Amino acid sequence: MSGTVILIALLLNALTVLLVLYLVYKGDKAIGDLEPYIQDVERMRGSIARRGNQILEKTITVAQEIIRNAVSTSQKNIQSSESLQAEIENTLKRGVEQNLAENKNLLQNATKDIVSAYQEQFSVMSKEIEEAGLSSHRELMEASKQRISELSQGITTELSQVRQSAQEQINQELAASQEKIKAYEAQKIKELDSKVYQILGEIAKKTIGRAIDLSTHEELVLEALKRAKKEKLL
Amino acid sequence: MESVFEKFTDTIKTKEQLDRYLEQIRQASRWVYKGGSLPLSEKIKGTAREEFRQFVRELEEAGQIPSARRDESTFLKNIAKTWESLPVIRLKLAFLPSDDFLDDLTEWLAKQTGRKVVLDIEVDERIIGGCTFEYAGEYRDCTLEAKLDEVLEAEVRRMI
Repeated sequence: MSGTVILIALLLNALTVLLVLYLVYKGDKAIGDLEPYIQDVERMRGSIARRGNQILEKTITVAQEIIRNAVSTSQKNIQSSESLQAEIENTLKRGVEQNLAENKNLLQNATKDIVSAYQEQFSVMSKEIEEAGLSSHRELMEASKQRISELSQGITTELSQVRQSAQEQINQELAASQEKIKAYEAQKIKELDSKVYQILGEIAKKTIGRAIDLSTHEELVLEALKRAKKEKLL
Repeated sequence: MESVFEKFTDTIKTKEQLDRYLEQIRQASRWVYKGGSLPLSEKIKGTAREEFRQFVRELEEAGQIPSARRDESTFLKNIAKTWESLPVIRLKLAFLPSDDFLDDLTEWLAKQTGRKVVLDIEVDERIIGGCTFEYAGEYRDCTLEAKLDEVLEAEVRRMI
């Protein structure tokens, strides 16, 4: 059974191979028929390419020429612009300088006129002012003298009153101070006296006691006790 | 006839002595219950002052100290109480008094007050002479210092 199956499979394979071979044969034949057409196409493509290259080269040449022309024209334009600019600048400069000089002259002349006019006017005014000033000065001097005289009298009176008042106050304060000094002096003397007596007392206490003999001491004590008895303390 | 106790009490002139003997009694009281059946004067031998020990012995000899220990302790307490109740006269003197002077003084004061007194003496030389006297809440300054101050003060017043 398996042998049959293998045999059938082998037969089918052989048929497939034969079919493929047939198809290959048929393909090659079809390609061979198309070959003249392919060659024509190739030729046409070569001719078109060459024509395109020629056109391209021509176009580049024309473009280059146009550019060169444009650059040259531009350079010429720039040159003429520059010379025109320099010319305008020179013209303007000269114009400005001329204007300045003219203005300066005008100004100087106007100033001279104004100054001389003012000088003339001031000269007249100065005289008037001087006269007015002198008159005012005289009036002021008179008024001042009068005022000073009045003030002097007032000040003299005022000073006299102030002096009197000050004198009175000084006298009062002096009297008060003298009283205070007197009181202070008395107080200090009192303090000094009491201090002197205090010291005297201290010295006496230290010296007298030692100068008293024992029997006198004993007598003094007995006397003191007898006095206490009299006073009924015992 | 003066008893042993009175005789010994008479020897106490100053507060200093009194304090000393009171301290001796306090010490003797500690020996009452110690030292077996020995008499108290023997027990306190070496610890109490000799004059006090002698006083205790004389009391023993006179049969004035009770034999029972509890009574012995009470007896000592009574002695202390009696001494503590003695009136004290406080005196300030300018000199250190001799024993004779103290005797004279206590004798004279006892006569004046009618009872035994003890002197509490302070020595201060600043009082010059005389004494200050303090007794039963009363105070007197009978010193030369007071007199001198009085004179000087009057003099200061007169000068001012």
